[in-house]
Amino acid sequence: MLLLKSADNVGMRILCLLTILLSFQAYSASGLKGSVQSPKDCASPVMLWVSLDKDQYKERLLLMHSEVPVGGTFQFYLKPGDYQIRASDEKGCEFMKKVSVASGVSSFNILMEKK
Amino acid sequence: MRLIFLFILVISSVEIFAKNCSVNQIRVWSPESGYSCHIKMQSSQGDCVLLPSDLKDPSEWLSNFPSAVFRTKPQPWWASQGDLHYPNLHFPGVWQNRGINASYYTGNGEVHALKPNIYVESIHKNKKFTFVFDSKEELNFLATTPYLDEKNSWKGKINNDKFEIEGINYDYLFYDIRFPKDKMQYERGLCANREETIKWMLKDLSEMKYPAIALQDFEEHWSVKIPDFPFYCIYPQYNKQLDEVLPVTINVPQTTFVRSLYVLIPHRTEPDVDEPQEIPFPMLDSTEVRPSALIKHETMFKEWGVAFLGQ
Repeated sequence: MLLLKSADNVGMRILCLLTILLSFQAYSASGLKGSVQSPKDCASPVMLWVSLDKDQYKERLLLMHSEVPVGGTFQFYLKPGDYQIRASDEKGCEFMKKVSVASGVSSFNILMEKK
Repeated sequence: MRLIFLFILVISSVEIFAKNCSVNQIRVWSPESGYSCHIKMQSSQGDCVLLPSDLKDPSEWLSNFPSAVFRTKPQPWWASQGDLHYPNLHFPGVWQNRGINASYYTGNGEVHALKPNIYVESIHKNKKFTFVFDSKEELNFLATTPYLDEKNSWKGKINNDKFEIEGINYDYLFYDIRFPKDKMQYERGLCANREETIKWMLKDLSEMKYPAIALQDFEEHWSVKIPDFPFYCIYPQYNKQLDEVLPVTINVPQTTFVRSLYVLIPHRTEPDVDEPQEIPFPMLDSTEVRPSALIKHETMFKEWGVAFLGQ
């Protein structure tokens, strides 16, 4: 606002408004980013599953899935909302967490467990 | 002599005819008969298809399935796990009618380019690389592995056929992204049934000398994730389209980047030129315009992906 008031003509004000709008757009991405860790008796790679956070099987729609090597990183670009993040590997190690995505990108690390 | 010349002319015109079709024809491919032009495509086999949209009540599911479901190849490990948790595992995402239900996904763009995987083959070890998506337009990523830095780039080393980023080896770099529909081409391609669609894409990649691991990953992933529609029309997008919509800079000397993205349009019934279509049927040969794989470079990047339209 201070920037807007200090702008002494219309052109400058428009430029300031555009700058604010553009910087808002640049930070408007939302989602999760993080890495995958796994104990030695689990396998690599790990499949990460992103679905709607629903208990009913028929409603638990899978949005995307991605294979990540142990120690590797990932980013999912998601609309704000509730999701279920599941991870599994070939040896039966698992991870599951419900997560609410708000505006912005949140850190989300996955630690696999032997079941 | 004249007869021989005429014979060669006839043969070559048949070949041209098979490669490019005239107006109001569809370009069709099958492993047995190769390329041919049709007004209406007919499948040699009766595909058994059941779509979730055909089912109103989940209790009807089993009664509607054919008596025996036979898979020629065992599923990859992740598919049998995914089947236990997700009803739409055998679709490329949340699905509606004949495409992705875009309302569940962030960003803009009708074309959902899924799992473009980038592979590398290099004579070098410990070769530093930077791979930058340097578009001036806003990019609509849906996922990446590993994550991109603030400049939309991956940085690390190349060790022969692997990427090393922050000390971790990756067989391939991966992203999902959305593109505008009008940046893709819809003239070149072909139509085929589902099984032959997968075979043709593999053949195309193989002719562009994609490494064995890339072909294996492609077959494993897409044999599970391409929905069970009886027919598909394939519109291959190569470097010409992809370099424009998603320009990339790779700062490795003596390198090349071969790109291939197959836009698939599913059809419930035999593609027929007499029926109005939102996307025109492919008439021209796509292999005429695909990137050449004849010249080998010290380091070669190759990317494949499959795309579906959002609804």
